[in-house]
Amino acid sequence: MKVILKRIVLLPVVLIGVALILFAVIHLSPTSPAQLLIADYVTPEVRANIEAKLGLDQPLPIQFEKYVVGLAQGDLGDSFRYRDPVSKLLLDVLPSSVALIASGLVVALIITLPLGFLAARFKNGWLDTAIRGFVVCGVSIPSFYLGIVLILVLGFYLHLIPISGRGTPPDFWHLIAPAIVLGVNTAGSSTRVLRAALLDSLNEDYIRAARARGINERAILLKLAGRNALVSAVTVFGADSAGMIGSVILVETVFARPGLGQLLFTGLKYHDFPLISGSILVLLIFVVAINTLVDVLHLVIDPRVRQA
Amino acid sequence: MRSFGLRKVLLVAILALGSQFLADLKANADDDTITIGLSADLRTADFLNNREFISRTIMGSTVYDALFTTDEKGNSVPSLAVKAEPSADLKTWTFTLREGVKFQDGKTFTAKDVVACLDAIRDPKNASELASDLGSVVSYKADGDYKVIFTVKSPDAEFYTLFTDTFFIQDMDHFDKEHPIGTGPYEWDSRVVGDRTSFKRFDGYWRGKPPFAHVVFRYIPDPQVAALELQNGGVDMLHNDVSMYALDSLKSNPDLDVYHVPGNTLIQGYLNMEKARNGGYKDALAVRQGLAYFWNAQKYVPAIVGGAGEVASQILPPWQLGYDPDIKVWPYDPDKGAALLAKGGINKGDPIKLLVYERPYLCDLATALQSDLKAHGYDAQVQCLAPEAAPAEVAKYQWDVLYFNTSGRSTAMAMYRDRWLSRLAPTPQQKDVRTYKSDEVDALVAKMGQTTDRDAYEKLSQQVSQDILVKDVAVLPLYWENVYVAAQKKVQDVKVSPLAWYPLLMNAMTTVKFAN
Repeated sequence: MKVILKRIVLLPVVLIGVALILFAVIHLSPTSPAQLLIADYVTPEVRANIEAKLGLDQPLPIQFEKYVVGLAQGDLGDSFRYRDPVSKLLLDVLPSSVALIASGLVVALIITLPLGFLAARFKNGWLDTAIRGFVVCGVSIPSFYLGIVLILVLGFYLHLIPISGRGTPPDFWHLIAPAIVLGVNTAGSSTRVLRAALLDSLNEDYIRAARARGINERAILLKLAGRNALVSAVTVFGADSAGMIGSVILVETVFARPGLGQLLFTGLKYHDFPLISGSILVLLIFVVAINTLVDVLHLVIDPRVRQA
Repeated sequence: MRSFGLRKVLLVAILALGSQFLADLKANADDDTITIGLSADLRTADFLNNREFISRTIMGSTVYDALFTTDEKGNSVPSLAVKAEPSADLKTWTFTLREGVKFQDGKTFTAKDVVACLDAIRDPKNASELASDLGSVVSYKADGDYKVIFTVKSPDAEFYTLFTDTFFIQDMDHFDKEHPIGTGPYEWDSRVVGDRTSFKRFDGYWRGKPPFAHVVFRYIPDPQVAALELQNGGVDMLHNDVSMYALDSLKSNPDLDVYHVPGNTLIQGYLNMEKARNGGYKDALAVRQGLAYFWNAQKYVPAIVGGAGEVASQILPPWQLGYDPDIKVWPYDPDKGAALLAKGGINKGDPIKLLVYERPYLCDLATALQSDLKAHGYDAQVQCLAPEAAPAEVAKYQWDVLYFNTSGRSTAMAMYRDRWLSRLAPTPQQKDVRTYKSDEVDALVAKMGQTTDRDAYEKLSQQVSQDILVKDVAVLPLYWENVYVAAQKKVQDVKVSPLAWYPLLMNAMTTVKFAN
């Protein structure tokens, strides 16, 4: 419990640290954001007006101070490109990204749990070999490539799903392919870890004892070994899920799906510092939230953690 | 029994989802809604800041009208202004406005609205990106309800073209950048950032009832995905974002039409005049001529660019008034080129730097020239840089050829004025960014601005082109980018304009229609 509280308390410190790093990196670039957003020649007077309006005429320390003060008040500034408050832009697309990440996690769980258990149950059999093959593919296929394959096969040739976009929410069909892409990548490593953890557990003395008492193999796998194996699987799943958030940028861009990742991509393209930092900060909150959720799950699953 | 129940639940769920999918498809195939795929998202609906072409295209084809618009040959033609008359000295212009035009909120359009919009653009507090474009305007005032009088700094026979498809007219009495109100054919409806912008029909449009109940612009960043969407019916039309890799499959699709014309975006290799002025070459003209002789346009442009472009011989497109048919593509003659380079002080083994603003095909084109130069013993180097990194490198002026694009202008004079007199290399951080300077050309362009005689204008323009391309060899024209439109067969009356973006859509949204 202390770990969770500590994580929540440290969140603002992490956010400010990240904001500082982002600010420094963006402002090291030789190109002026004003130039990028104007994208053409304008007179120096007009440029000066635009830079003043965006606050780019101020010294960097003052720009950073204003940014951090604004951040503390929940004001993420105005996007250079869209000329809208970043918080409004983020709120507009947040539901789309939340739906995508949640669906990706569900797909990852749907794949990880049965495949992990089946691979352990039928260790070294043909099913285990097939699952391990899938796991290798899941880990090694880049998400953008898998996205294009799904677009072509499921969307273009088979007409089973829409090719791109978000549709009109709530729209399940537009979520299928991007969720599969996110889920498969995450499930690859989680399945491997779950299988390995299950096999370790199955070699423990208490399992042998359970077998000696005549408890059936299914119950041993699901109830005894499974519970222990889940502890390490949840840890890896949590870390992979945080990694999944990085993939959201590519997936949203490939599927032309509005969201935090796509906003971040736009921000990077146009050196839109408020948009970049706002998107990254929200994605960071996602990562912290998932890690916190993993800690909570540890508490639920593992009595040793509760006692500690 | 239990498993039968689960199956039933699954069946019902699949049926429910399937019916929603079909409903979505039906909604997408709504007969009264046209969906257009674009590679960029609407940046802002705010008329004060929609200088960027995508925002201008989207807003100018729907909510807004400008005083003048463009016909399919690129000429400025009346829109909210019915005529523009200059004074004898070409320094005062009187625009007569169209009567009976209503804003989407029902207000009547008058000269006061034009003045209010221009005031807002020029107000430094608004930091409008369009303010620069009014630099030549000294003053303006309303003269009654339907006349606006402009005074300009210097005689300008083309002044009215400045108001073509830009400086949109917004009802400033109800200005809300989140909900723009103009006089255009479609009203603002909604926007999902990063996904789509939607508009609905304005029944009171002055040109008559617009053809579609709704117009939707969908943002699809990847042209390949956009091509698949078109083939699957997810969008009705793709506009100048047609993937060249998908071109063959689009052309062979019986449900689609693909149109194209040579556009007005010129890809060119600028030759370094700044380095010449600073004594960087022994004989700068000989160096530029030598490099020109090394460029094998007829071989490399079709091989590398394919259907994406047409070989260019000069800086004005063939359809523009002022184009000179006598200027031909520079002949490929490497021996002559080598002799001229030697005359200019570049000998075999010497470095020749080719700097590229990264864009499709440009690195390949530079590499083609590099291979020919290397084959003749020169140490040719290619540096391809992203647009963010290139300006700093350009400003060092250590390159010999700079590969870059020039977006078109509506008239020859605007092309020369904006692209040759104001700048050559895109380094606006510097005060004087011109690498090409010629008093003779400056004088000729100034004369163009003072003539209303088309023949005289054409001759002056041709002389400017001769000076830039033949006499001074300031640039290697490489190719004109083709403008492509791919649309469902049901989309009819598509006319492709060489002015790649906004003019076509601006006209199309009132003329294109679905087949019955």
